[in-house]
Amino acid sequence: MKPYQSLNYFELLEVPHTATTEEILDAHRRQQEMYAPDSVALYVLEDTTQVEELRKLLTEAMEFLSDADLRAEYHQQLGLPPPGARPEAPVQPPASRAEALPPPRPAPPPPAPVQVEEAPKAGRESSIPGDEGVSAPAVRVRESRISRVEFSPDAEFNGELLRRIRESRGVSLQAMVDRTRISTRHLESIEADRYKLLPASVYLRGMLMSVARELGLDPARVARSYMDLAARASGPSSP
Amino acid sequence: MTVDDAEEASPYQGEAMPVAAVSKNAFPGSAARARPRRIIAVGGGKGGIGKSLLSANLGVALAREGARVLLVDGDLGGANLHTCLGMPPPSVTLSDFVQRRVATLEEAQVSSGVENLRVIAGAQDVLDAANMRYPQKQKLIRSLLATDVDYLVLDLGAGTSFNTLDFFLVADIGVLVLLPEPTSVENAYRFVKAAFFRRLLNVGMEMGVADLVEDALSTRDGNSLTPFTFISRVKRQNPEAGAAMERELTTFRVQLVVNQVRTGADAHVAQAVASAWKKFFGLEMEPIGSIPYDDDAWRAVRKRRPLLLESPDSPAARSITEVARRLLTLPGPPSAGP
Repeated sequence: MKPYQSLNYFELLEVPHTATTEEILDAHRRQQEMYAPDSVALYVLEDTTQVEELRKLLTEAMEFLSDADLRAEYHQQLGLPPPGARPEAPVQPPASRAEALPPPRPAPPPPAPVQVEEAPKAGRESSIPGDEGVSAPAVRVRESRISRVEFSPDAEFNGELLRRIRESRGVSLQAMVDRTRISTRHLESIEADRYKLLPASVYLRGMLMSVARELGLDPARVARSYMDLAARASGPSSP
Repeated sequence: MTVDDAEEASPYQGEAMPVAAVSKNAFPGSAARARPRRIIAVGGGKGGIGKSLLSANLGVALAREGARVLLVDGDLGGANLHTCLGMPPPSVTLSDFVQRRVATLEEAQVSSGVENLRVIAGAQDVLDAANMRYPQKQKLIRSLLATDVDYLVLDLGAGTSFNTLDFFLVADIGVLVLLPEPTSVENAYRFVKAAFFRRLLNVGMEMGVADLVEDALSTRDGNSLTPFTFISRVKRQNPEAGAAMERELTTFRVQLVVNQVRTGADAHVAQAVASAWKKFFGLEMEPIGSIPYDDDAWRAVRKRRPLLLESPDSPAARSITEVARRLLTLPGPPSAGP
């Protein structure tokens, strides 16, 4: 008997230890859809913050298990054969021990490409129409290799990059629509850099910040970067 | 207020012990006795979600696979299984047995018109069986358990009365029906939780912590407890009892069928419910089928014909046949041979 808080990453994603990275990304996508906020299956939950918490754990699980180095380390912690090893005698995680101990959650990973880390989710409701009330939090840069999509600290966030980051997190377009309440059409236009089809900049900015928040990126930076690109593309008046 | 309502108010009133405890232990050598190979109970907490339709057609499907099937309308007070099968109002019903107007369950059975499928129709008189008293229920359950057929399919009524829960708990295979709608999901959860806590009452009595279970069943605070939170509470007070209850939770398994599936998202509801209820409540649900919303099903009910006979190739009929085949592959009770 294990509540979600004490499940290991494999159990959270409901995949076997032998799952390939592809299967892990798939499982994460499926789980994100299952635990979308409007899922009818969650109707009986009294505490909806638990769903939010579970969704974060699922993403964390996907991020660790889809990174080769982190996954190898995690297998070691669980006493599993290394990932990719042909399982001659599949090793089950010792159930009783797993129950007694909290699930092994890896320590903060070793340094790797610099990535802009997530900003607080405050002001989510107010973020869509003119977001001036949402003060951009200071950019917190943390050493991490959570994302498989690498980009430099001064990367320009165009639609292509946003899409790749979204996909690397196993978030489907539909899941993004559900979570940000931005229409599929707008999200597609953002990701395809179809600037002409995008809404007025005051709305666009709010949308970009929502998307960034969902991806754990710095909302202000993403919005600024994207809108600079959009402005440059639509007129010669570059900054 | 019916007797049933009184039972709801206090778990003990009118009953020394939940029937499940008695009946499971009543036949220690049950493998050697004549008894159904499998008892399948179909419940769901809510009315109008297709329990009777599913039960009737499962009966037909299992009978067509060659099994000897007895369908029992356990919807005490709202019986209409015979209508789903296109049978005329039956001359003899379950209440004739409960009221001792017939001596054996055999005599209460009628032919369904389908080969290998016999039926015990439900009580037509609301007052009789719905208010069945404890000794009557004991006798009925013992007789059901001693029926010599391959499959006994119990169609349960709505609600979470003790009679309904006990029928669900004596089954080898508990099938929960739900619709992809909040009201149905809510009632289904209440039903499963009530059944599980009813089962815990047995453990509670054995381990001397029945009062904890009773509190959980009857107080407002208890109402918000999930199996997880309840068991961790028991563990703090009595680790041994908590461990025993934890074992109950891991062996408590419910088969899940989602009915009236209309959209692609609906089709994933069974998986989502199974995943979420396990992660949040500790309940093991096994999704065994999604039945599409199908006008043929509705037309069959209007015609008072079993869907499987009326439109065997309709999507709903095919899904029900698949559910029946899944049920045929499920392992049976540990005490009974294959």
